[in-house]
Amino acid sequence: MAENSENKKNENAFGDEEKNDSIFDIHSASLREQPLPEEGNERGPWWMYVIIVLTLAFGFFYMGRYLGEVSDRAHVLFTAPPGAEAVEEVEFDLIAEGQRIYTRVCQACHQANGEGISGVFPTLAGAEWVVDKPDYTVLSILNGLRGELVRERATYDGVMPQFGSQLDDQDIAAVVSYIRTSFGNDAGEIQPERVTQIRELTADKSGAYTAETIEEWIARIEPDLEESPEPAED
Amino acid sequence: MSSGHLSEIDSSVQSIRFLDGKARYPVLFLIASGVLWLLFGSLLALLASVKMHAPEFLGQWSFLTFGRVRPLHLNTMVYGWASMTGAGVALWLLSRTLRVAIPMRPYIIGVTVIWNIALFVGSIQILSGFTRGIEWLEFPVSTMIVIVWCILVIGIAAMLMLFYRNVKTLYVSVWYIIAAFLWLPLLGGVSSLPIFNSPTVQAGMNWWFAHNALGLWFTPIGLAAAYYFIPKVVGRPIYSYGLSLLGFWGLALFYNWNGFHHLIGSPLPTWFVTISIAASVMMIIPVVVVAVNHHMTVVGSFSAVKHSPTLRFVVFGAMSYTFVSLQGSLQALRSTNEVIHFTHFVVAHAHIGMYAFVTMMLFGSCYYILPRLTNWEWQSHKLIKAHFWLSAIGIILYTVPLQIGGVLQGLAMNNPDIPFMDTMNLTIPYLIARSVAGVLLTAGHLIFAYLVVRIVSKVGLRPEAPTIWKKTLKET
Repeated sequence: MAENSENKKNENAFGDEEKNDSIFDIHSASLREQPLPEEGNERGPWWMYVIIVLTLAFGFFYMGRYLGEVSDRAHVLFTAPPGAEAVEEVEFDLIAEGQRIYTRVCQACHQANGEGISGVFPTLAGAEWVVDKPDYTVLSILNGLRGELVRERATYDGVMPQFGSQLDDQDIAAVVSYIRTSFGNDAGEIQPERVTQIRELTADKSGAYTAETIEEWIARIEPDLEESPEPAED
Repeated sequence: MSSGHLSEIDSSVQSIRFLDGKARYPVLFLIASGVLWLLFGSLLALLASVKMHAPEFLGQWSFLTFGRVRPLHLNTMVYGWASMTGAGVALWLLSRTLRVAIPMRPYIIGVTVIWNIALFVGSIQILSGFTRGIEWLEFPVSTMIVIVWCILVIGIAAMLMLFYRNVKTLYVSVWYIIAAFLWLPLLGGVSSLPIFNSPTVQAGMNWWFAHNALGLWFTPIGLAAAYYFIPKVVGRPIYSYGLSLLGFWGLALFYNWNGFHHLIGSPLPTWFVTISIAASVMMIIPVVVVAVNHHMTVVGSFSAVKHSPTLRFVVFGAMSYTFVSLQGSLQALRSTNEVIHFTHFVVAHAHIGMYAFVTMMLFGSCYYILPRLTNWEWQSHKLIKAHFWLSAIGIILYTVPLQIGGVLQGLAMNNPDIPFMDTMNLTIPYLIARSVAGVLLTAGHLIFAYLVVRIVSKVGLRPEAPTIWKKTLKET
C-alpha cells in the first residue's frame, strides 16, 4: 500500500517524531481494536467464598496437625513414636530377599537362569558347590575367587569379586538359599548364623581364594563348624 | 476508560500507534530471540525424550548424552524462550496499560544481545559438561548472573515506565508485571549466593528457586497477558476488580512457600515442609478467584474463542493455569506425594505449567502483538490454526499418558515385590507417546517460527483485514 511504503521511509529506530502521517495511518492502529474496558465490580458467586473458607480451614488444620517440632532438626516425624506393642514381628522371607539380591548383584555374570557363561562364569544349576557344599559358595561370596577352576562339567577361568563388605550375613544367607532352591536346584535354606560363623572363622583371610586355597580353608574351618546343612534330597 | 479511549486514537504520545512504534525494535528483538531459543530447545527436548526409551540413541558423543541434553533443554526453554518472549510481552503490555513509550530502548536491545550471548555460552558450557548440577539452575553461576542482570536492566525500564505513567489507576496486568520484575532478580540473585552450597540447604534453595521462577516470574506475566487480552478481544470488562485484587495478593502471599513440597521425606525440618504443603493448598484461593474472574469475563462470548487466534491460545492457557494449579495443590499433600514423587507424573505436571499455561499464553500474546509492531498481518490463518491444534493436541498427548504412566510407576515403585527394572519397563509405552507428542509440538513451533519470519520480514501481500477466522470480528 502507498501509505505503508511512504511510512517505511520515515521509520527510524529511536527518533521521537514521525512525519507525513496520513489520516489512514493515524487511525489504522486504533481502528483495528476495541478499547480496553474498565473493570467491573461484581462480587463473585457464593460457592467461591465457601471454597476460600474451606481452604483456609484446611490450611490451618494441616499446619496444626503436622507441624512437628519447630527447630532445625532434620525431618522429625510428626507422628508419635510407636509403642512397644505396635512393633510387629515381620517374617523375613530368605528366598524372596535372595532373589532381589541375586537380580541386583549376581545376575550380570551368572545370568538370570543361573547358567553362567561358558568358560568364564560357572553355572549354578546343579553345581556341587551350591547344592552339596554351600560353604564353598559362602567363602567365594565373602572373599571372591580367581584363577582356573575345574568343575564337574567344564573348566572356568574368570574373576569373582568379593562381596563380604557390601552384603551382610543375612544377605549372603538369603542369596545362597535362593540359588540353592532355584534353577532346578532342590536343596534347603541356609541360615544367617552359619554365615556369621564362617565369616568369623575366616576373618584373617585377605584377598580372593583360588581353587587350591579354598580347599585348604574349608579343611581348616570344617572342624569348628556346626554340622553341614542337609544335602539335596536325591 | 471511555475518555481515555479518545487519546488512544489521536497521534499524541499516548496513542496506540505511537506506543507500538516505540515498542517495535526492543519487543520484536526479544520475541524473535525467544522464538530462536524455542526451536533450539525443542530439538533438545526431542533428543532427550527419545533417549528415555532408546538410551543408546546418539549416545556415542558425550555432549549429546541425556545428562547434558535434558538440562540444556530446560534452561534454553526457561531462560531463552519463555523469559525473553515473556519480557518482550511484559514490556509491550506495560507500554499499553501505562500509556507510556518503552524507555531505554538502546539499552534493552543491548542487553538482549548480551542475554543471547550468555545463553549461547551457557549452552556450550552445559554441553561440554560444565554445570552447577541443580535443576533449573544448571548454567554456571557466572552465566546465570549475566542473565539475571539482563532481566534486571529490562526491569529498570519497567520501573521507569511505572514512574512516568500517564494513567491514574494501575490496571491489574501492571501489578503482576511490576511484581514479576521485582521478584525475578531477587530469586536469581539469592540463588546465586554461595551460602547455599551445603547439601540440604542447597536442595531447599533449589526448589524455592525453581518453583518460584514459575510462580513468581512466568505466572504473573502469563496472568497479566490473560487480564489484558481477554477483555480487549472479547470487548467485555474484567468481571471484578475486587477478585483481581484477591487473586494477585493471594499469589503474592502463598506462592513463595510452595517449593519445599518437592522435598517431602528429605532431611529438611518437618515444620518447613508442612508449612509449604499448607501454602500449596492455600493456592487454591487465588487460583479459583482468578479462574472465576476470567471465566465470567469470557462467558457468553465464547464464539470469539473460535475466531480470534489470540483468544484461543489465551483461553487455553488460562484454563490450563486453573487445572495445573489445582493439580499442584493436590500433588503437594504427603499422601499423594508418596505415589507420584520421583515419577514421570511430575515431569508432565511441570509441562502443563510451562507449556499448556505459560507457552500458550505467550503464543497468544505474540499473535496479538506482532501485527501491531510490524504493521503487517499474519500470512495464513490456516497455519495459525495448524499451530494451535498441533500445540493443543501435542501437549494433551504429552501430559495425559505420562501422568497415567507416572501414577502406575509410582504404585509399582512403592510395591517392594516388584523389581526396579519392571517399574522402569512399564513406563516405556508412555515415554514413546511423549516422543510422538514432542514431534507434534516441534512441528507447531516450526510453523510458528515460519509465520514470525514472514510477518517480521513483511513478505507476501498485506491482507486487507486482520487474519482471523471470521471477518466481522475486529480483533486478531
